[in-house]
Amino acid sequence: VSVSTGRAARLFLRSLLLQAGFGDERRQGLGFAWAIDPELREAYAGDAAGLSRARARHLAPFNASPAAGGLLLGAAAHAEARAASGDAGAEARVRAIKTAFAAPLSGAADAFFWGSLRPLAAASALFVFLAGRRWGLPHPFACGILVGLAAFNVPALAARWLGARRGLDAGEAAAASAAALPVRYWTGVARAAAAVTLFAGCFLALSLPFGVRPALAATAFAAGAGFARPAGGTLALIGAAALLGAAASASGLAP
Amino acid sequence: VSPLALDAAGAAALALLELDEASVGPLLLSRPFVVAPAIGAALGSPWSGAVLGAVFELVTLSELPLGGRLDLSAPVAAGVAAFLAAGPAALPLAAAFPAGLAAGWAHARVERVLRRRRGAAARRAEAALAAGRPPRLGRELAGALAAQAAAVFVLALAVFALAGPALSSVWPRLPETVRAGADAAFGAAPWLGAGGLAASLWRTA
Repeated sequence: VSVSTGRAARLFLRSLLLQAGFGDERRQGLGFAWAIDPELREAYAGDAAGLSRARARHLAPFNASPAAGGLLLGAAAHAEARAASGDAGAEARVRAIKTAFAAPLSGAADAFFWGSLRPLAAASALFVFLAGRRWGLPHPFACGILVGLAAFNVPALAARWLGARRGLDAGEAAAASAAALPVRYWTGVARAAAAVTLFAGCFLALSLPFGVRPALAATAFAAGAGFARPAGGTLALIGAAALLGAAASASGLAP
Repeated sequence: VSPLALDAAGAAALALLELDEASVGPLLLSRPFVVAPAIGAALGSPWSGAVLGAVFELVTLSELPLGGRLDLSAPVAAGVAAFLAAGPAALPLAAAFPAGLAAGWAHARVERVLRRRRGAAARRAEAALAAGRPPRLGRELAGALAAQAAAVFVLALAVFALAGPALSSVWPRLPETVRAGADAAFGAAPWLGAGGLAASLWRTA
């Protein structure tokens, strides 16, 4: 039986606050417990002891990629409904969904949404800012921000919505079928698109009258590419650039 | 609008946007490419905001917020820098950049403290369940969100109202060497960040 749109919408909206109580001890545990609570109240209506046990289960430490939150919440709610109706193995399946399924799903979702779509969104927004400046396009900032937000949020919110709906509908089967999606391929495509957009933005920035010297920009780019990781991050290199600039000024090598 | 009212409005806007970083969503509304141009545009200097947004975005983008990692609060850094450059302090971009970095670093430390304390909310909910009462999960989450927003508001307001005017007065009097170092850091930052990001995309592809 397909779940109602209202239930899926409620879980989807609550999944947006999955991280609201994020802490070192329980991670997203508090947010997960709050998001799933209406489902638990419906499943355990008339069974106060069962409801109390289920609520306690979901206060346990939990951590997942926010984009996978809708699916994991939906699948856990589905299993809780089965547990409330007397399915003896359903409680164990709730735990499996929040541990065994959550880890690989989150790994794939983090690589795609954080590691690929987020750079693509930012690079797209910056490219539109620069293109607006270069070719005098109207409202470059609003357009850039909208393009960047859409690049990330259309897939991210779709994943949450479809995940919540299918998780409520099919439980762990939905989580298993999500794990079979070609996320690695999507991740590679999004990374390539982010890299191309980043390079295009860099070349566009050099063509604008920002006073950037191409040789210095290329040197800094190469230093960032080669040394940011060994140096412990970009901030260390920025500190080194500050020292070099100050030294050049003190020695009279730079104005 | 009095300067303090403007500072408070800027701090409140930043506090609301920052909630998207690790509390609500995330929908990327807290990323520097959104926060800094929005603050710059609201203060009548969209390009200052956009340039700072681009720099902070490139510097922080290759750091993934996985497992609760928190080295620098990018939204606070970008928002503070944009406000200091486009707001009443009117700092040069090269001065607003390190001020934003310092504010982002400070906020990351404040948030670590907030995250350490949030375990108590779950324990209160468990105690309520053990006593046979329904846990007030919504209230606990609302409290966490309010504390998060309040921390950003207080930090940003302090920077805008106190550090902004002080930096505005001190910056022109600093030795030329110091200002040249800041200029070099600001000029190199987006290219260093873009290089680091390109390498990160290449490595993980």
